[in-house]
Amino acid sequence: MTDTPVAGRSGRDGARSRAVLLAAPLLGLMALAFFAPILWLLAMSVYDPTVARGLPATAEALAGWSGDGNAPAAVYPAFAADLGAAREAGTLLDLARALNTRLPGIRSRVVSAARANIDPAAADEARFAALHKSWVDPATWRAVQASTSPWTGFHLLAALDLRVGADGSIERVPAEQAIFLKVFQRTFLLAAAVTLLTLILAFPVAYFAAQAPRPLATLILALVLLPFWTSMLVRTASWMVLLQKEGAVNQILALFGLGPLSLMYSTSGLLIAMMHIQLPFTFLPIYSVMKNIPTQQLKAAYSLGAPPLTAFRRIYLPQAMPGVAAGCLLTFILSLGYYITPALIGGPQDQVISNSVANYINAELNWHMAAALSVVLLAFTFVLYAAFGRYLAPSSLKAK
Amino acid sequence: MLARAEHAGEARGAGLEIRALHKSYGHFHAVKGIDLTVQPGEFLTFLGPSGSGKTTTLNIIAGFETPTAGEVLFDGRPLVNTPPYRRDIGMVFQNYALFPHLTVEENVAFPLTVRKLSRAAVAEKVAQALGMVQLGHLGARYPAQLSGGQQQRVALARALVFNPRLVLMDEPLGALDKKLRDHMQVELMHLHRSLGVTIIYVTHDQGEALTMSNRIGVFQDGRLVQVDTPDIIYRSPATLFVSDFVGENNHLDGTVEERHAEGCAVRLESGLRIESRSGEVGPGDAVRLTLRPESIAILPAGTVSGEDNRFAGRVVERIYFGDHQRLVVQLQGGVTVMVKASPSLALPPGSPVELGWPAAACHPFRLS
Repeated sequence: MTDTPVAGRSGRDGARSRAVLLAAPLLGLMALAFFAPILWLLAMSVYDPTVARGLPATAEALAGWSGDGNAPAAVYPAFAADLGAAREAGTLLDLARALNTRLPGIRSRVVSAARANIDPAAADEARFAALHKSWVDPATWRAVQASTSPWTGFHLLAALDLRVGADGSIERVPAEQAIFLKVFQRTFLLAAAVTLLTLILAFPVAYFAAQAPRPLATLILALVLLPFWTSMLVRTASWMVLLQKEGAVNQILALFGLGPLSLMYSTSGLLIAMMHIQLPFTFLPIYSVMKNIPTQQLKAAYSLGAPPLTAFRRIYLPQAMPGVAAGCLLTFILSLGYYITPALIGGPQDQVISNSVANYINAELNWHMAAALSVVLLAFTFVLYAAFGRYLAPSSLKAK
Repeated sequence: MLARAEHAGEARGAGLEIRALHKSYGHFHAVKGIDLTVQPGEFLTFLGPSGSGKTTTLNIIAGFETPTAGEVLFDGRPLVNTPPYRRDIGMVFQNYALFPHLTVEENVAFPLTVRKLSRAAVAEKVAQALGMVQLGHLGARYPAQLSGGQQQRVALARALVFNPRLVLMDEPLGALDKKLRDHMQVELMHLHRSLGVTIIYVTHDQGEALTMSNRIGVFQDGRLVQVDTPDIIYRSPATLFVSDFVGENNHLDGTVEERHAEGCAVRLESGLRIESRSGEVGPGDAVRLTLRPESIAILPAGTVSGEDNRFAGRVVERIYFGDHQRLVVQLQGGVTVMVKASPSLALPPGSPVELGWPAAACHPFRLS
């Protein structure tokens, strides 16, 4: 008789493996099309083998160098040989660009050194010094030496406006080169402003819709969700039409003798457009939580002697908080990743971190820097989620 | 707080008077003219089917609804323009309406903290109220961690902790299982007796109403059709509706043949002649007689007794309940009646029986 439960269990296992099999296509797609590229991109923030591949001989010549005093003489012939090889292979420009990210300005010097086509046998310090005096500066070779390791924290530090100083310690970059912290700060402030504004708009509407009789509630819901079903690009473009100098908003204002307001390429225009796109995301979680608060709750509070405001504050609001937290977190995190809307409606002063990422990918072709900025944004987002995520659990569930 | 009525020396309950109360929603008249006086300290039950206006009336007393016309007087003071939070009327809701984000103690403390009592006074009263419902040990729990019966007691403690002189209860035991409901009924009666508060209790369960109430008000279609003690409601229902809503009945339809000193005689369509109370019917009226199954006696065969009505019949069906059995008996002429009998009587289907009942057990109601 002992085989009966075993048969039963193997039957259950069979059902479970069939379920996994059914989910396999989606899991496979996620792994291939989602997790793998993201991991690969994130890894690029710390893995950059371009220089190591392009300067194998130079790397070897610099391997033993402590960084004190002048670079070893063997560097010059090795460097000349590497440049010649890179020129032959057609990888010279990639190499020059990679070096340039570590040592701004070196790009043109690398290219001209390669053009000089120095014979490795004749290459020495004097020959390079004649090209440019920086070739005899130990700082140059220290930077080249640092670049020859494929694993580097350089991009991550740069994304935080930090660098490794001459003495090997981490220091802030000079104020005129510091750009990213400011952009990060702007990104988070913009997301916070959008979150707060959508909350102010969504909360009363959600409350009203949750209390309203069914047909009216359905209508309100449809009105709030209607924009939700339109593409974000279309909505952004529509706002451009509305907000521009001769646009609908300014024409209407002109009827009342007001304006014109410069809403395009301004922070206020950007806020209006982003609020419009994010409103449903803030609204829906609040509404769904409010919908589940029985109307009896407020009646009970009144019957126990609480005036309407007290009842709202002490009974209704705490029960609506999980929805408020969920809606705000959703909008905040989505707003951190905005790209199209700031690019099209915001001015140069409104560019957010996604624009920087796009710039590094599309224009600068420096995917490592783009990856590093993404890692920092992701890390900040996780920290915020961890900080606020625990307020999401309603207290009635906490105790369970 | 929660001073026993006998200690307080006077009735703690408030009197309530309802005058010509109407409530309509558009074309729908939920309450059509209710007049009622509730005595201080009384346990009065609103009994009726759903949609009969009992809950609307309760909501008007609580202040959640404004009457279209009429007045509600609380100890003689008009109440209609007082907002619910200043009425000092306790209320227990159908699904308890406990606050899920507050602990049991915080729930019970709520009416006291909104009244800005001192911390020490709140703690003392909460402990006392929870002790009263035997939940002192569960104060730190959340409502979701309690059983239905425990939640019910918390709701009760919360509605009583601020010493209201009138407590409204809207089907508070509806969600409990039968055993617990019976138990809570007794507890509620004890609480009512020891606190002396006035209680207005809404239910559609006639058993509950009969058990607990000092008086029952039966609602039908927005009107109060009868307000009386449970005994009078059961034995002398004013209308056919009340008679049918409270307890079980056999229906016997016929025509009044004659009225005489003790009552009247009704000829059923099947030809049987039945002696009945006189009621408010006259000769020639089409009437329906109601006859409670427990007032029909099974007579030993062959005996001659002084029963007003006596018929021979045959058992058609027997339903066994443990403490009693119900017999469906077919009388001469095809009339069937349900009889409640002692479970020890062995009367399988087919057995011949003699049934008898007094004229006073039959209530005639005119059919319109």
